[in-house]
Amino acid sequence: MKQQSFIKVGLKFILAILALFYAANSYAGGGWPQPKGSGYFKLGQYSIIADSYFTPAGDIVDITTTGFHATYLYGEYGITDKLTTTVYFPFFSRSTLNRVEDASGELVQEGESVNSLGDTDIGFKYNIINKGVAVSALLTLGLPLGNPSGGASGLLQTGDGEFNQMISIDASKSFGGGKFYASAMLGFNNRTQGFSDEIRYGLEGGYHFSNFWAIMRIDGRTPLMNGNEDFIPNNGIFSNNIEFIGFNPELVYEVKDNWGFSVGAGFAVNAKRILAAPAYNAGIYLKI
Amino acid sequence: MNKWIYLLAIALSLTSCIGTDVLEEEIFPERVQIVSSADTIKVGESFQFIALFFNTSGEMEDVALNWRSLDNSIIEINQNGLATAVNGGTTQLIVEANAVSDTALVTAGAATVSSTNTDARTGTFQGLNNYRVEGSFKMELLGESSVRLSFEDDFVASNGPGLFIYLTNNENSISGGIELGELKETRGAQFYDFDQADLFNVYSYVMVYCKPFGVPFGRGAFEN
Repeated sequence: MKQQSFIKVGLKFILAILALFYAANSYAGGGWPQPKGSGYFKLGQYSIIADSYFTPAGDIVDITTTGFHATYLYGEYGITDKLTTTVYFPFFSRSTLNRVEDASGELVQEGESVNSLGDTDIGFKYNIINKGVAVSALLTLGLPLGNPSGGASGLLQTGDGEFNQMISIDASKSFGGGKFYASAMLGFNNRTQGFSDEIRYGLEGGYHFSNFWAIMRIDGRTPLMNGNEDFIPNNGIFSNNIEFIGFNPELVYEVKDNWGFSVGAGFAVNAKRILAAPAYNAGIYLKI
Repeated sequence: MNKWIYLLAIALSLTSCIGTDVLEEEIFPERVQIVSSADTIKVGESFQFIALFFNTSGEMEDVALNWRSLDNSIIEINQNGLATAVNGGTTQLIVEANAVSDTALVTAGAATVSSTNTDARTGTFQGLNNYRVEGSFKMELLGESSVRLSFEDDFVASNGPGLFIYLTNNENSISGGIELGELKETRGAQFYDFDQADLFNVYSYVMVYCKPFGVPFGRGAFEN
């Protein structure tokens, strides 16, 4: 149960835990392509439940608790040694808004939910360099298969309703006989339907020990503020002009050479116009 | 591998239910407020006094009101709030409900003069929680039963989901307030009518409020 007071000014510099909608851009294997005929596939679950929100100035305010959950399939497949195709398909997405009662138990506002497919990404990664450092260019097409106005109020979303196209450059290198790796990413996301375009960036490092990979990913998003000023975002998951720098630790356990599972979370030190809560991600992967 | 898939499914079902948020209880002092009053009542005539009771939630509640006059030889008042001037002079009329009361100093004289404010009430918006809400507003009576709240041409509000307009006595919440409807436009002149003229002088603030997520976007205090 949640106590609702309205402002928690001054929390912005705390390691506030963030609503990172990072699932879609955190798998793509960095600059390394999949060899021809090889693939990586993952069944995953992404969840966030938030009762706080980063305002446009980055302060945190309490909100009615809202949640977003996506069960997704992610895949990479090497069409050639140079060209890899990627798919992120949230085949079940669910957005919820809590019921609100006053202290005496009297209904203030009904809760609601919406279930649907989620926004889906299809990508094409072309490997440019693969000697020492692997560098690839990635084109990602964001298909608006989710529901941008669901629930009784029309305010719940499982997608943003816009078709976006992102181009990015990924570079990766391994060290220490494969025990370490590092990746960097820089991308431009062209958004439609009144959303501002975005610069996306990320750094990632991994360390292999026993059967585990310990991974830390730092990523960020900066809007170019060139969207429609009168555009009305429905909620804080698919909002416009989102801005954040996030830290995303992840642990991967290799059960066998060809499969294992992963758990991760998302945290932020600074954010605007996004839910302020931990985001969790877990999945099972298979390599072929 | 199958058991891990089952675990994922269980995690999904456990985390994705609709929960319940319980609002923190805001306690307001009980009060009774005379909202229709007279400075002077002509001797031999009557005037209808009206009072409203607000409970500890700040909400109007229909309770029994006890009206009395300190000097019945000057002005008499019945339990419905109908006051009659009997002889010249000045006295105090009192309304009580539960343990709270309100008073009006009334003269029995040569003419009846209402003391209820019927002039337009005005104010200016300011943003809250880093959201932009600007511009001026005015509230005026439309005849005897209706009220119109008008936003002027200079009104501008940040976009947001489910923005509604409230009258409230709390500068940071809508507790005890009344909802006038969904915000019609984020820019420019617009108005909101409601049929409770008794409430014309009751509330202190106009609030632009994101109803589904419970966040005030802006408010304006009445200056008169």
